[in-house]
Amino acid sequence: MISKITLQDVTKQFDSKLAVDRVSFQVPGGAVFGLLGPNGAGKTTLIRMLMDILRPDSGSILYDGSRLTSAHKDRIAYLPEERGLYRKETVRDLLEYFAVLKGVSRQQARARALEYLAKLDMSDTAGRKVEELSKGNQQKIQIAATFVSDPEVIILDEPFSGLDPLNLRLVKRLLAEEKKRGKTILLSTHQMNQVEELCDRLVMVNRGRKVLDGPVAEIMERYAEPALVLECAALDGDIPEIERAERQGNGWKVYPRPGVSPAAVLRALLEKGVEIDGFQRASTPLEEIFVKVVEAGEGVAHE
Amino acid sequence: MNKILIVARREYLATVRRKSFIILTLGMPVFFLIIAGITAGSAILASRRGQDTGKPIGILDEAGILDVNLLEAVKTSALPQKPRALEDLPNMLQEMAWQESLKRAKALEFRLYPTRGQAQAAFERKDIRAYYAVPQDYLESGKIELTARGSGFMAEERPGWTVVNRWVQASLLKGRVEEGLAERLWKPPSLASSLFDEKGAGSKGRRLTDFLVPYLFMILFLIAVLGSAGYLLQGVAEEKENRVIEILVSSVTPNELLAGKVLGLGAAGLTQLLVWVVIGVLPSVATMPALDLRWSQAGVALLFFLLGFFLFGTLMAGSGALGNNYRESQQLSIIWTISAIVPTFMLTAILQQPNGALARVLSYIPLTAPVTMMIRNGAGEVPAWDIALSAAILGASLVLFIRLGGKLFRLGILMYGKKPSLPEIVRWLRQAG
Repeated sequence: MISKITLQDVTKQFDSKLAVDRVSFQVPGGAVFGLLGPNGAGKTTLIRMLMDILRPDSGSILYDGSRLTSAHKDRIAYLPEERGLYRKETVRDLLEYFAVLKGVSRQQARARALEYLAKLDMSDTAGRKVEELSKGNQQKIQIAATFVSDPEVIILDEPFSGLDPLNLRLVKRLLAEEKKRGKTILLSTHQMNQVEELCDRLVMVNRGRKVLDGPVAEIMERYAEPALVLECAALDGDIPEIERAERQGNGWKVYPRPGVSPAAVLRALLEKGVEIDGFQRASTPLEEIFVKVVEAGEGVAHE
Repeated sequence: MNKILIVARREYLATVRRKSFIILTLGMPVFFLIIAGITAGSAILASRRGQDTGKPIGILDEAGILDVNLLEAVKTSALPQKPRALEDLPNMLQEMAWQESLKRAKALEFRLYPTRGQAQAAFERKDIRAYYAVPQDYLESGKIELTARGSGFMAEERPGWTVVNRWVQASLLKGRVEEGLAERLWKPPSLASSLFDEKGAGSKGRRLTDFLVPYLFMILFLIAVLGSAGYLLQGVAEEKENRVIEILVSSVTPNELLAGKVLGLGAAGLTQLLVWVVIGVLPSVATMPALDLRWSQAGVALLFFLLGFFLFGTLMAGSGALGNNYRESQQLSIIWTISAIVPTFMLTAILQQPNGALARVLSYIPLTAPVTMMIRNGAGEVPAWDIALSAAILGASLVLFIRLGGKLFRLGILMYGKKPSLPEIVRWLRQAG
């Protein structure tokens, strides 16, 4: 794993509040990276430090192995959670300005602006003023403004909020395209299903501390319950391989006894003549993992 | 540096495209033209009404003291002298103004009436515009009566009074006092003054343009600070309000952003100044060919104009970053606006002693220095080292304020919620280290 951005023991304090407390993690190059945490966990402060808007009190942030400075600003683009645009500006001028600010030549900026407008099905709005656009379209312009400078790293804070399903798909397609082009994408969101779907790795923070870190698949695996979800009408009789079973929807959630493999459970059920229409391993949605980890963390914090 | 220019370019374009900017820039000369129009119009109106200024003035000498032979001498003595204040005006205008007043004075014609009834009748027929009556008991009472038309604004209150006044005196003195002495008595002395400055050398005396140019700069400066710097404040507050600022500081450093904004706005302010100069000042200079600017003095005024503009611009932008919205930021910025105006409250004191203690102290305080120096620059010869010292203090504070402003900017633009208190601001500045 080649690390694009590395945080080492980063700490930031505001007045009496410790916003970020000795956080370390690595964002691999070319990955889609999820940054999760409840409100007030320190995500925005972390992102602002990654953007060199704030400086850590201690610890260090490395970009491509060297200390992050304002010289890196051109290579990192940022979509803030609370968004706004110059309302009186035309869409074309606005996109061009944001690209030029990141060191892109004016000519190139103009071409890129039109390119991204086309990708977002918004070519017809180029000459319109921002304030004339619908809210959803303004949102898309924001996203386009983030990509238009062709940065290496893209930091998106809640990029999906306020998008209708059609636009959501459009933006996701854009993200996938950028990833294919080797961009590193850091996603901060509450929408866990999007993280499950899009992210390769994630870091979860709570109360300024890192509470979870790793590849998404691995974390899902780690928190997966040792259970099987079965689609079947009835489940009766005593099966020694099963410790307990819970009704779940139209089927059952079955917990094998320790040491018993899922295959052995299935075999036992089939031998008993249970009609099984479908089965899969039980997985804990990221949302539940999130709640679990946060609650556990709070518990620790209260002790 | 490049990024500063990118920000400056956008700020410049956004500002000069603002409706309020265009209105102020083009409206100001129009406003002055209208004022000039009204003034000229009322002057024309007055001279129309004064058609009857050409009419004679009646004299009723009931006391029998007036000597008709003296009238011509008295009239010539009352002719206007070339006023000192006009000495610097171009010859053409000066001549015109002087000739006009000469003409009026010479046109004074007096008509003697034997009885009050005849005088009153002539007045009612409008043969004469007014009449003076020297009553029989004048020597005891010392009172002369005037009957004239009109009242209120622009009315000619006592036509030819100077002449009548002197005529009475001259007539009374005639034959009673030696002739040369008599003339000295009824003709008041004229004053010839020569001024010495601190160095003891005879001063040339101030010329009108010496004062006019710096004074003009001062007025333009105040308009610029209150106007353009106001845009800066508004711009930052708006960006903070609509959160564009977060995108901006992810691309440029707060210092670059601040510098770019001040520079862009400064350029817009200079554009405004240029438009005013082209529309307003150039035509008046063209009609007054002899109005020669003293370039060194205009240069000093321009220097303090720019330094002051950037100083206040920086402060305004810093204040813009502290408030949650335009209105809050505006409240915070009032203190800067007042500081800029303070020296004008002490205008008289500074004008009287341009190199006095008060003027000096105000010149060394960065916030009051620009306006004070502009006033001093117009009021008298300011020592070169004083200009240099004030400019150096101003320049150093500018550098300091840009750094402080940058810090406030960095912290303020990302803070939302409660308006910060002064101790909080100080703590931020320390933290920003």
